[in-house]
Amino acid sequence: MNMILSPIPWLLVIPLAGAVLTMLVPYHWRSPASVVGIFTQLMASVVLWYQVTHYGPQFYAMADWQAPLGIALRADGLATLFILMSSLVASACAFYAHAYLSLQKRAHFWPLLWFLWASLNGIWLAADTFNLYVGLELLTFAAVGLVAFASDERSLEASIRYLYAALLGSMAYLLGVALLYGAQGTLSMDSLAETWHWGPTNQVAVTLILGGLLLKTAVFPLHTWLPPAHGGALTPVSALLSALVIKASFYILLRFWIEFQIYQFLPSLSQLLGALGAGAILWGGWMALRQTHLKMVVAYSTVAQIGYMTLMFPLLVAESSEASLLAYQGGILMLLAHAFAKAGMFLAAGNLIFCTGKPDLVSLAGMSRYRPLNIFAFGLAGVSLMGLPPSGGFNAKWLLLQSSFMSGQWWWIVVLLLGNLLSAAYVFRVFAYTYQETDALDTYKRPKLSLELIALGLSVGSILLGFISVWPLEMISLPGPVMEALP
Amino acid sequence: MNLLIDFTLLIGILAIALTCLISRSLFRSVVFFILLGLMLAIGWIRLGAPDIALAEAAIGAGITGVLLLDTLGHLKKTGNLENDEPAPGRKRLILAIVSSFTLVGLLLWAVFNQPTPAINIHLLVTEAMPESGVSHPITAVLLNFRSYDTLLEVGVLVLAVLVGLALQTDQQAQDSLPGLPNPLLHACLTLLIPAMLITSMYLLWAGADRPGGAFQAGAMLAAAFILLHISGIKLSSQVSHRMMQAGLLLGFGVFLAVATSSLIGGRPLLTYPEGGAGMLILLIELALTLSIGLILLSLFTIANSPPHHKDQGGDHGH
Repeated sequence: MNMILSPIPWLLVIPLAGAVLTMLVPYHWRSPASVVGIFTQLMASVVLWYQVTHYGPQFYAMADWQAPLGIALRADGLATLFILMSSLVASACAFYAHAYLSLQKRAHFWPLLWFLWASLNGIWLAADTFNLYVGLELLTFAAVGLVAFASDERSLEASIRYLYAALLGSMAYLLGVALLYGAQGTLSMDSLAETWHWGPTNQVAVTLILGGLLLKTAVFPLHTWLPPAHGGALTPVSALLSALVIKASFYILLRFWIEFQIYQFLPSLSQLLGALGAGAILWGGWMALRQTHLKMVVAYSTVAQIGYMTLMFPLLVAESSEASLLAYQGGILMLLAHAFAKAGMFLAAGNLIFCTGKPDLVSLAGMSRYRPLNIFAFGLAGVSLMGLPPSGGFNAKWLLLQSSFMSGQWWWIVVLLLGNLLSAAYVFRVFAYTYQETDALDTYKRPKLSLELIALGLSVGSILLGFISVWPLEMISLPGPVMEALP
Repeated sequence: MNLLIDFTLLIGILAIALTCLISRSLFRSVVFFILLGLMLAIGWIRLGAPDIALAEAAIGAGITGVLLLDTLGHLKKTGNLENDEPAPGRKRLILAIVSSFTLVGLLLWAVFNQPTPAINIHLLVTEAMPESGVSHPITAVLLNFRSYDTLLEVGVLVLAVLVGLALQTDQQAQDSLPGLPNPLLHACLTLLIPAMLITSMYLLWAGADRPGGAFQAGAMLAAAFILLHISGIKLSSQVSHRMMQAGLLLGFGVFLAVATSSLIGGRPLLTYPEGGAGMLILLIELALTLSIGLILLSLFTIANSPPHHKDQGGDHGH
């Protein structure tokens, strides 16, 4: 295949070059340059999608050295879906940031965003355990920089905490990778899977890797760094972090779990992960219900939603391939719906805070009359998060429910239903505040229409996903390393 | 004899690490941390990894040590430093001890039960060496076989400075560090700086066939820059802001440009042309050395600028 036509290198080169360019050119040129970059990224993602659906999974040998000596990149259905997801959500957040941030802030935002985007694409495409580590490092620094960038004292503290948690996670992951390398002499995921050997070394390695990735994904009870970081960042950054950044470590976890067939050898670990997920759903939902600041509600909702994704792990059971497939599809759909819904919800919440000028829930009084479009965007995202039909969130939970029935693990059904009630409660609680009327004078600021439309667009996306769920599900079922390793 | 050295080293490393952790004075902790870096460097030499030893000594002990000492000085100046750190709570201490012993136990169990690797990667490296353009295997791995990782790692370095710059909202931030007006120091500098520059270039050149390379050379260059900076010769006032930024990005930019140029010839990203690998690797390493030196210097100078004022929305253009 002609290498010049492959979009894979461009998915990495454009954001990296974008980062360099937006650091060098004068402030006024940074936004136009970035807009060009965003469109080429969208185009490259679509071209990749076309190639993968028509010609099957794509492989790319970096520097023309074949793995395990060199580093290979892989674009299977799963990776391509994630490329498309991150391109759409990141573009929306980038346009939002362009309208939302001042020129000064924007100038620093662009290079950080481009590094973030490069690392995300790098992680989706990676097929090498050490390359994944480097991707995670790049992602961590870009994300921490973006959190710190609000530059008030609280966000600085949150970003330092986030940095420590993320670095601890990276260290654990790296230690695990080093052990795997020592035991098997390779870093490439495909050759690791081929020569996998369940000895003590690999067990310790897997434990370290899982621990590190769980910390980075903020799975309960390792979630405490997330709410202040996601809730305290600037609005477009919060959306990027919740929608995309935590998905990166989750994605790596999932790939390890399936491709190295951990589910088959450590079934008790699956149940443990499920229990953590259940804890996240209940605790995150409960905490979201008790917050007094709007963005903290949304941030705790992320903690709960991560729990739903984690429920996928106990449902991947070796005995029932049908239940496993349903769980895999449900989990991925959950993740996808959450990316759109949570980005939409954070942006809508940011608009509301911009209107009232205050971050707390009480000052939302009267908002549903003043900003109906924005409340509608918040509500649509809420519908998907609650799992009401028709939405991506509903279909995802339906698949997970079916999978629980089929594998006879009824206890997860209880968790799913309880979680739904909690999500409904915290979303409606926000609504209740917006319907209150006050006698106070209106001194609201009006956000730009584009800000509201972008939030609405993302929320509508999460609902639309309910109608076109077949399409991403077909995509992840394309032949590839993950499908081969599923039971 | 060697066994004796190894055991002494091992006990020394453990003792220094412990002292560093339990010391109540932060200054003492930092000094022991630097010492730990040097001991680890000797450890790496004993393990036959001189490249890592060089990096550990230059970056782990040298640059990190300077940054830590500098932070300490800054804390002292702003009065945010208590003389004695409060002792950690009993619960935390127990948690820390239990978790570190568990980790060490697990690692020992893992390492002692390590199987023989199924894939002999060393053989693959040896076979591919003639095509790599250099004769030192570490450089071949870093800049040819796994150059993609190195490209992203350099990205991480650039990103670190970028985050520092983004947080430094005050554009006119001046260094608060006064130079040391010491004639003896300046006389020493005239001897030291050329020697450091030559060592840096030697390390860079040596990377092709023996331990060395851009990271070590860059760290050495940074050390020279920082020494000049501390003694009052400010590089940042000699060159414009834009020049400095171009210098920071030069290494990453050159690397990325070389990487992308192979796409035009229809070959995968980062592929070197037939026979040109050695030259291109040297070019990339030269640019990287300068940039790494400037990046490490910038991390130091950014840390030294006064704490920025509360950002008032930042609605003013540049």
